[in-house]
Parts: sequence; C-alpha cells; structure tokens
Amino acid sequence: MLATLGVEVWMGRISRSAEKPAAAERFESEAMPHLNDIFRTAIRIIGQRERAEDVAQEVFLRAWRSFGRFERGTNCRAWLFKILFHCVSHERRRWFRFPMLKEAEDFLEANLVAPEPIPENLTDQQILEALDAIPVEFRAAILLVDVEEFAYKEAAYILAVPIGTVMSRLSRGRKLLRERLGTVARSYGIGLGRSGV
Amino acid sequence: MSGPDFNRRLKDAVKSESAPPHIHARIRSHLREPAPGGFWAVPVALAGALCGSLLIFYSLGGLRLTTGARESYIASVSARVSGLMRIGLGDHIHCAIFHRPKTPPSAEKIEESLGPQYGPLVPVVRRYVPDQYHLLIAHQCDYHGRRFVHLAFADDFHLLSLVIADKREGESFEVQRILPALVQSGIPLYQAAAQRFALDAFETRGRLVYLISDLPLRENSKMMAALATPVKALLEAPPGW
Repeated sequence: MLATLGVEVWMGRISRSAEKPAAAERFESEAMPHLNDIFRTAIRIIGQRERAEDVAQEVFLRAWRSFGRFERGTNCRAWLFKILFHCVSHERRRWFRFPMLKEAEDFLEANLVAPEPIPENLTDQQILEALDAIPVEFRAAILLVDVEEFAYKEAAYILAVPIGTVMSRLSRGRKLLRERLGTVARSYGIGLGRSGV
Repeated sequence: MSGPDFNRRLKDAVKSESAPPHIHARIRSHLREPAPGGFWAVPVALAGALCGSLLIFYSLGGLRLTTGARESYIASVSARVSGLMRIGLGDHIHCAIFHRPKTPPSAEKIEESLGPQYGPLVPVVRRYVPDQYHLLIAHQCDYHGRRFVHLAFADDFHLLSLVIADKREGESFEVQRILPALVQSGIPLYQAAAQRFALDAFETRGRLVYLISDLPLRENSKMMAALATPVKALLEAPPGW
C-alpha cells in the first residue's frame, strides 16, 4: 500500500510540475502586457518613481501569488488595477495621512470656479504637473476613466466605491484639472484656446 | 483645446512613461517560483496542517519554550545589534512575543499601569500607527532588572512595539558615537536590523526610545520618523503638561 501511495505521490509531482510553466505562460500572456499601464498609473498616484517601481512589482507578485484564484476569461487588467489601488491605499493608510475625501470635497466646493477653457500649446510635463497637483481621489478617477479608458463600472470595482462616486470624482477632477491647467498656462504666458471642454 | 483633444493629450502625456526593463526582469524572476495550486500545493498544505497541529499542541501547553530557551533565543538575535539596541529588542521579544497577551488591555488597566506620566502616550502613538493595528500592550514592565514603558500594536500579520527605557550611565547613542541613519526634525534616528526584526531608536535627555517591528526596515523607519517628534515632546514635557 505504501508503495502504491509512493507511486501516486510521485505521479502527482510529475503532473503538477507541468502545471507551473503553464501558469507562468498564462501569467506572461494575460498579466504582463499590462505592466506599463500599472507602472505609469502608480507613478501618477504615488508621485515617486522609485516607490512606483516597488509598488508595480508588488502588484505583479501579489497577482502571481493569487493567480490560481484568478478566473480565466475575466478582466485581468481590471483585476491588476484593483490590486494596484489596494496596494496604494494600504500604503497611504499606513504612512501618509491624506485628507479624507470629505475634506477634499469641502475644499473644492469652496474653491472651484466656473470651468476654464483648456489652453493650447501645453507640454506633456505641464499637463502631468497639473494632474499631479489635484487630490489623489480625483486623479485616480481621471487616470482610470480618461486615460486607461475603464468603464465607470470597472473603475468603481477597482476603487471599491459606488459608480456615482466615480462619476462625481471624475467630474470634479476634470474641473479642477482645467483650472490648474489655466493657472499653469498663465504662469508660462501661454494663451487660451478658442473653445473650452 | 477641445475636450477630446485634451483627453488625447492627457493620455499621451501619461503614457509617455514606461516601466523600466529591470522591473520586467524582476517580476519574471519570480515567475520561476511556485504559483499557488502548483507543484508545492500538497507539501505546503501538509506543512500547514503540521503547523496547525503544533499550534494546538502548543496552546494546550504541550510545547512551551523554557525560560532558558527563550533567553537563548533573545541572546542569539540580540547578538546581531549594538548593545544600546539590545535593550529595547530584548524587552520586545520577551514581552510582546513570548508573553503576548491574548486580549487587549482595558482602559482601567492602561491607566493603572501607565499612570498620568505615560498614559498620554497611547493616543499620541495611536495617531501614527496604521488603523488596522489594534493595541495589544500598554503597560510598564520589568526585564533584566530594568523598567520599561511598552506599547505594542498588532494586526493579523505584524507586531510592533514602542519601548521606552530609562538611560543608565554611558547609555547614549551620541556618546557611543553611533551614527544616525537619518535626522528627523533635528532628532537623530538610529537604525538596526536583526533577523526579522527592524529597529529604530532615538534618545531624549534621560531615555532611550525604540520602535521594533517585523515590518520592512524602511517602513519601520518611516513610522519612527513620524513618531519621534511627538513622542519626544511628550517625554520631555514638564510634569503636569
């Protein structure tokens, strides 16, 4: 009986050892193509390239560790972004006491002005500076919906908030971004275009 | 610039960044490690079952380290850090690991043990400890003939202690010419690591203050950098403040 058990264990080892390259191959084809998207979103959310590298790596290692539970055919990209925002929020909870959303909303309510037209001739760097300057909740919504083109429903899943919250953050974020860009343009002496957004 | 034009510009600007090649390489090197449900699933499950059995056995009192074995462990870990760091590390392992309480302390117990002098430390430290950690220890304790003020917090995975000890003669990082790892708001912070423990420390006029955890060293240091100023201010405040 022991001999039989030994053979079964040995056979099991052989069949399972074949699973690993298959999983790695699947991970390589389904998850790895999204590394650039995860990394650049991490940079914009965290603001530090070095930390963004660590977080992007952490996202993929976590994804790899739980890849066995990932349901084939579902949205791998959204799943990776969900892990990214989980990692980021975990880190923020730990070390950086960002103002809560309510405070940020109050701040905006008090400071928002009528939508500004977006200036022409801005450089990428100026656009990124303006994006980085808006509160992280709104920045995340813009990055997910406007840049990464996730549907509201997917963005809500990734950020673990209701769809309505995504829409409101997006709207407020866009307004704030316009305002920031106007300020940047004026500071560089760049003229405003004919039409607004 | 119109809305769609701006969206395109925004996308282009954000997507101008790419992940550096070394991240691809670092992640791919981990793909050679076993994925869950793969080759190691059965051995890991068996090891888990064995650990579970040992835990039950331990909780029933069948496998407890003797005092000698505990001291031997503390000595072996402490040997890797400087004498000044050993003071806090020893108390952390002795108190928060080997004598880890099963339930958090009640408000009465905290007040009784810390008194008006150290009681205000709890809300100050709590403010800087991540929300998911719960207070595990808030008391004064004795270890190796020395009195400690000890606050410990834990979540499901990590344990961290703020340990405060009175200085004895010659016990000073500055006097012993130990170089600080960083200076936070004028407070030199000293750093060490031993096995899975990360240690950060600073000194006040009469005390040595340690933050010890099983977090990565960088995270431990960040937390100590945040804690140093308020904790130092509280320890150096005149009585009655």
